Formats: sequence, structure tokens, C-alpha cells
Amino acid sequence: MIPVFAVTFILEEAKAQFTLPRIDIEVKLAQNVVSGSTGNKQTYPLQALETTDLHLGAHWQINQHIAVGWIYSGSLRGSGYNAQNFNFSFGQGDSKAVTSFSGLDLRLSAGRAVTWRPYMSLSYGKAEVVEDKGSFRLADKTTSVGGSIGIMRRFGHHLYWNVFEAGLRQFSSKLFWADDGNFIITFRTGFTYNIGKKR
Amino acid sequence: MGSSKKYSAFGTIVSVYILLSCSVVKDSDVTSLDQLNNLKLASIEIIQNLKGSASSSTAPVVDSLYNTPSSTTIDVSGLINGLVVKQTTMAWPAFAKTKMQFRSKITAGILIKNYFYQNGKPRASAVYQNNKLKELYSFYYDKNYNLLNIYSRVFTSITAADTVRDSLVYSPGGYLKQIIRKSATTPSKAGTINFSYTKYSNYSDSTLGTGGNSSLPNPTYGSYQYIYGNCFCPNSNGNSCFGCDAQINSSASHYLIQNLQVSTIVTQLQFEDVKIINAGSCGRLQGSTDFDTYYFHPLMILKGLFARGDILLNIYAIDWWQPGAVITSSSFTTNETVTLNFNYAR
Repeated sequence: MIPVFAVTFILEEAKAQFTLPRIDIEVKLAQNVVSGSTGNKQTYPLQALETTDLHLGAHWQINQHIAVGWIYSGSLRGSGYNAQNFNFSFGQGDSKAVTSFSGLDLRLSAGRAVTWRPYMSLSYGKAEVVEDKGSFRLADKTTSVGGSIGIMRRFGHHLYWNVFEAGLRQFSSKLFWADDGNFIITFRTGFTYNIGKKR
Repeated sequence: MGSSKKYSAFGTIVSVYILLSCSVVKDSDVTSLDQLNNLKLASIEIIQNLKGSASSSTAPVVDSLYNTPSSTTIDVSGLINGLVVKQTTMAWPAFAKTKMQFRSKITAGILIKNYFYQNGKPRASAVYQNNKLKELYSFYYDKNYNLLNIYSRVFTSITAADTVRDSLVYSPGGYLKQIIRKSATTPSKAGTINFSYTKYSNYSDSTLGTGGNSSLPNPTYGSYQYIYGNCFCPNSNGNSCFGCDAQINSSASHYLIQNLQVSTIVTQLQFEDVKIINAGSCGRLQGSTDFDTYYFHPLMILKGLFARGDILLNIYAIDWWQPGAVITSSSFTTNETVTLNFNYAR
């Protein structure tokens, strides 16, 4: 709730302070897969973590092709796979998992005239991964850099449907409780709302 | 108006700060391997599902660091010095009905004390009843703390303990290939047991698993032939499970162990007495004996602290596993399980 409130507040504040607002906000659902061990699975059994995140973001549009902003995502649910094989069987893990990311985002996109608007983004920020083992939680904070590509469909002057977005982020260090595990794959879908005038 | 702008700017800064400081990591979380390996065992929840009826009980654990470490030797010859720095004391609950038994035949008032060296390796595990020592398992190492000997002593009605001395022999790859067992008190328990290994197809790394090597005979001990295998778990899981068949003439009994462990910390260990077929593979074959029972063995609670503890626990089924009696016809409708959930605290 706090991030939602914060983003809304920021946007309202920004709207009030810029006579020609050029801001968009985005709300997406993201499905993440964090890589686990590839080597010694008897000592480090984590095969993968998968989480479903609520992704929020706000971008300032420098022009219709370039936007910079801040993105935040936090988990609604998640599972860790240790004894259970992952095999992209979401929600079937043997532990709980949480991920989050917050950081800067640079978005490059096609012009607004087209109905189907492809885009790509580069992000850098703080990633957090938590696996809940019951009586204790394993947690890691690390910096992460990555990118994503996607396509959105325009509905009027303000609303876009982010039909599909796929991304990959690399952690600066591996998870300490896995002998590997240093990247996260993300698939997103959601909406972007342009607060400002068409530009 | 100026004041309004100031408040707006302040609100913006506060909001941005809140957004940036949102963290899912808590202060109580384990954030390093060192912190993980230093977690203290707080309790063990023992869940038994016997013929479809589940019950659970908890063994509280007290972790005590010695004010003055106890000086001793770590090897069987008494030449290499070591310090015992802590012990854990576990009050084992009494069960009205249980698969988990003790070789000393005690059923209540049980206290298990485990002693540890400064590097976390176990020195010994002692089982007491009403302050009387009933079972003692001692571990001996070389200078690099490789486990070389296990002495098991069970104090029953006889004056001297029933003592079994095992010498552990490893292959160049570090896999336990032979146990040379001697027993002055019970000569029939003496013998040399050989173990073979193979790389199973569902192992994603170079790890070897017990058994599965058709060119070598299966190990035998007592009246049983032990057919170890990787025993695919119910949903074809990887190498997190292992198990065994014990064959008595044409009858067979089967167990399966599922294990959750990260680094040296075991969070769950489940023993399954396989009586019905859920999937056609080694550990899921239907057993044709009565339900098994299990003797307490310290590896059940300490296996995470030994190199290749899974293999040790599997091999030491020769001591803790008691296959059920041969029965002429079986009408089992369920498997029995014993699950140990290990709870830790920082």
C-alpha cells in the first residue's frame, strides 16, 4: 500500500509543479524466476525461486521516444523449489519466496503515433531476494542491472496496455545459499497511463 | 502559496524516501553463510503418520556454550587434540505409539545430549533416561576432521555395554566404500560391509549415489541384503531423496528419505515406509513386509554436519532400520511416514 500511495502522491505533486506534465505511471503484474544452484544440490538444493510481483513505475518523458523514471516491484506471492523440481510448475514449491526491486529505469520506445508501440528499457537498482524456510528466512540484498523488451497497445491518448514484456536482470553477486543463482527472468503485463498532454 | 510549495516539496521528498526505503529484508533474516551455519537448533517437531493417523510432538532443544571448553582428543588413537565447546540437550517426547524407537528399549524420560568441537563437528551423542546413560555414539576423526570411526554403545540389562566399533574406509573420491565392524561384546555383529556407487541420470552434477552398480554385489549385513538406490521421489525429484530396499529371501521392505538441507542446516527429514505403489521406481516398489520401525541414530539429527551426510545416513540404515516381519498377504492402503521438522533460531 505504501508504494501505491507514494507513487500517487509523487505524481500528484509533480502534476502540480509542472505546467506541462509529461509523466506516465505504470502498473503491471510481473512473474519472476530467480535462478538457483546448478552444481552441488545436496548442500545447496535451491533449484529456483519464482515470485509474482506488483510492479509500479513512474517515468518522465524527455520526448516521445525517451523516458527516465523509477520503478519498484514487490512480491504478492512466491515459492522456492528445493526438493521439489521446478519445471515451471508455479506455486508448487516447498518454501515461500519474496523478491523486490527498486531502481532507475530508462525507457526507449517507438513514437506515439503507432497503435502498437514497441519499447525497451534498461534498469539499475537494488534487488532483494528472500526465501522463507519456516523457522528462519534467508535473505540477500544486491545491486542488479538488466533490461527488458516489450510491446504496448495504445487506447486513446492516455492509456496503453503493456501486452507483454520480457526482461532479464543480473545480480552483482550470487545468492549465498545457492552455489549459483545470479539472475532473474521477468515477464510482465499491465497498463501505462500518460498523465500529460500528447507530445 | 509559498508555504504550500514548501509543504509540497517536503511531501515529495518524504514520499520518495518511503518508496526508496521499501525493503523486504528484515533485521532478523539470515544474510550470510556464516550466520546460516551458526543458527541454533531450537526444537524438532516429530510428525508421525501411522496407518493414516497423524500425530505430532515437539522435542525442545537447549543449546549451551561451555564457559570453559573441554580438552580432549579427536582421533581414535588419542593423539590429536581438540576442544569440545558446546552441547545441545534435547528432551525427546514420549509417544503412545511410535515408529521411532531406541535400541536401549527406553520409551520415556529420554534426554539426548550432543557434544560439539569448535568447528561444529560432533564429538558424541548420548542418550539418557532419568540421568542414566543408555546409548552413546562417539565420532572420531583425522587431523582434517574427516570421520574415520564411529563407536556405538548401547547399555541394556547387561553390565557391559553392547559395543560396536566401525572403521570407515573411503575411496579416493571421498565416498565411503567400506565399513569394518568389530564387536567384542556381540561377535555376530562383526563384519566387513562394502558399498558401491553410481551416477544416476537424474543427478545434474557429478555427485554419485549409493548402489546402482550392477558389477558389484549388494551389501549384506545380518540377515538382510541392502539394495541402495537413488529411488526417485514421488514426482521424480532430483537428488534430494534417497532410499533403499532390504530383501529377505523373496520378501522386501522399502524406505525412502526426503531431505531438505541448505549448507549444514537440515530443515526437514522425512522417512517413508513404502507399502503402496505411487510410481514405478526403486523406492516406490510395494513392500511385502509388515510396517518397519526405526531406531534413533544420531545421524538423523546430525547428518548435516558431516561431509556426504546423506550417504552416511543411508548406509547406516544397517543400524537404524528395522524392516517389518515377512507377512503372507498384505492389505496396506497407505504408507507410514515420520517427519522431523528442524526449527532454528539465531
